[in-house]
Amino acid sequence: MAYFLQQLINGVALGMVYGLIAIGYSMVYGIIGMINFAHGEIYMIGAFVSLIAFTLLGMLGVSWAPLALVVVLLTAIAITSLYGWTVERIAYRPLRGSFRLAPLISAIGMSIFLQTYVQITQGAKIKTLQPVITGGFTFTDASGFTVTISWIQILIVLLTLVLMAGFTWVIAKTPLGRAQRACQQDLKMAALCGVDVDRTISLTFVIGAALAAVAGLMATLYYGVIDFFIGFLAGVKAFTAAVLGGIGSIPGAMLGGLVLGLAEAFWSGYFSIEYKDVAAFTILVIVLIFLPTGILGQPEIEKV
Amino acid sequence: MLEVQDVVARYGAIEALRGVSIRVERGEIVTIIGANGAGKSTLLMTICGDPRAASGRILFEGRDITHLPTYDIVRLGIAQAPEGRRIFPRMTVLENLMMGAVPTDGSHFEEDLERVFALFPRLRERRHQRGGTLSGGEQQMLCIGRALMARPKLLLMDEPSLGIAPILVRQIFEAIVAINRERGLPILLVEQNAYQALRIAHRGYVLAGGRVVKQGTGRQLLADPEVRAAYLEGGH
Ligand SMILES: Nc1ncnc2c1ncn2[C@@H]1O[C@H](COP(=O)(O)OP(=O)(O)OP(=O)(O)O)[C@@H](O)[C@H]1O
Ligand SMILES: [Mg+2]
Repeated sequence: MAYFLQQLINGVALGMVYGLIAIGYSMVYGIIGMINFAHGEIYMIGAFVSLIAFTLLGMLGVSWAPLALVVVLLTAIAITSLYGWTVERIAYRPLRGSFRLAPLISAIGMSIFLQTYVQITQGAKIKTLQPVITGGFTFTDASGFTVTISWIQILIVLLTLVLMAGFTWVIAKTPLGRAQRACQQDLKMAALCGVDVDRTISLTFVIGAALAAVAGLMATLYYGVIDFFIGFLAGVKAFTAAVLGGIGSIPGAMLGGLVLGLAEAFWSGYFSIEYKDVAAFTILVIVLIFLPTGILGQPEIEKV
Repeated sequence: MLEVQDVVARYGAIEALRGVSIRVERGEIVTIIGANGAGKSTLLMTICGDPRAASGRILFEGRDITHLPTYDIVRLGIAQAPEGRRIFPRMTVLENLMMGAVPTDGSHFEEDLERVFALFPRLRERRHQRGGTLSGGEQQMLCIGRALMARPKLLLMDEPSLGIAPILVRQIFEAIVAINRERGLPILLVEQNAYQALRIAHRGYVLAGGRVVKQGTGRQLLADPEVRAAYLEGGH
């Protein structure tokens, strides 16, 4: 039981990270119908910015963890969003209205470019972060098994829940959220309503990148090691989560992330940790075959 | 108020407008009739900047809007109830109307909403229903209501009577006349239902193959033998 509980906790924390990245895929797909293959790299940049910011703060002697966290969080969001915005501006917007595969190819190029860029500027070696937050709660059950919830896991879950609540509110209730949904449902009509469609698309990339930055920060704290290649696997997994939840659906992305995180944690816990990535890809294949619109996805119901 | 001068518009190689000139004066209902594929919808969309005029000029209140982005044109006061209604299907009626109000500063929202509900009481009953689940007639009301929420200075309407039961068609045409009279709002109306449209219009244009082939007052066009033969026989 305790062992099961431990996997559950690990899986939820992991799932939240995937979910945050998945939202970026889902929102962009929902609005312009493209898979932003560079989104995993945006997450990786979020992780690097976080690590660099922590290191700089350490050099400046900021040692109080909560302060450091807030500063790093804001820095990561700001800088990563700028990357997200720029990628859309230079790699996708000029291709809008071009043939369907053009932005996709551009996205793959962007992904390779960003990887190489970080590899060259930051080096190819694994980077480690001194633990910023340590400890947690430990429970021991009758049979002597211990269950640990680390502070980092608690932070991940709380921060994600707060972000999700705020984000859901923005989408449901604010003019920006309405404009975004309008663009998602009918770009042409949104423009005829006076929505600046280009600006709304830009903001979608910015929001997606901001959430990926938070995911990058949390993964850096959680694992303590990053390199220029982490965006690939995280990207594929988050993309799987987005498809699983129903691409285009935001609650779906979060749900898909959770399912994937749990699957990976239980797979690692009960089968083999080496093949944990296989679990993600297996799920992707199964979903694509049996549930192509995902759990919360809507089949295309375009009116004539 | 609106002047379209010699406008050409293309979709790729297809030339949908081949030098169209029309104008709409203050307070007028102007109708555009023509066969399928004549370029009527393209004309309304080109006024809104999508597709963009390849040549020619479009003036609105004396200002050249030919090269402005769509949202700027809309914000200057041109609202469109487009072909196919284009209701946001997964938004409620109320949210659809809020989208219509995007070009405004929001300070008259409640008042405008009441006016739309007064014009189409059905929308009030359905205000929390999703747009996609409305009937065709209700969607058309919502489409017009949404355009009115923008407080436009000029209203473009594309085939508001299409696919709607005859009894509702009358109601929609009455609403168009009422909007025009009460608000003094000029309306550019594209219609297949040429008889009804010409009856309520001050003036009209006949479009064929991307060109204006005839123009005149509503009454003149109704009486014109060629127009009668081509667009009115059995048309009502
Ligand atoms: N998005 C598009 N892409 C390519 N060609 C188009 C597009 N929209 C319209 N056309 C073409 O442009 C021409 C004019 O079309 P338009 O829709 O303006 O006609 P219409 O007068 O509104 O016809 P209808 O009465 O059937 O609505 C047609 O030949 C049509 O095939
Ligand atoms: Mg048409």
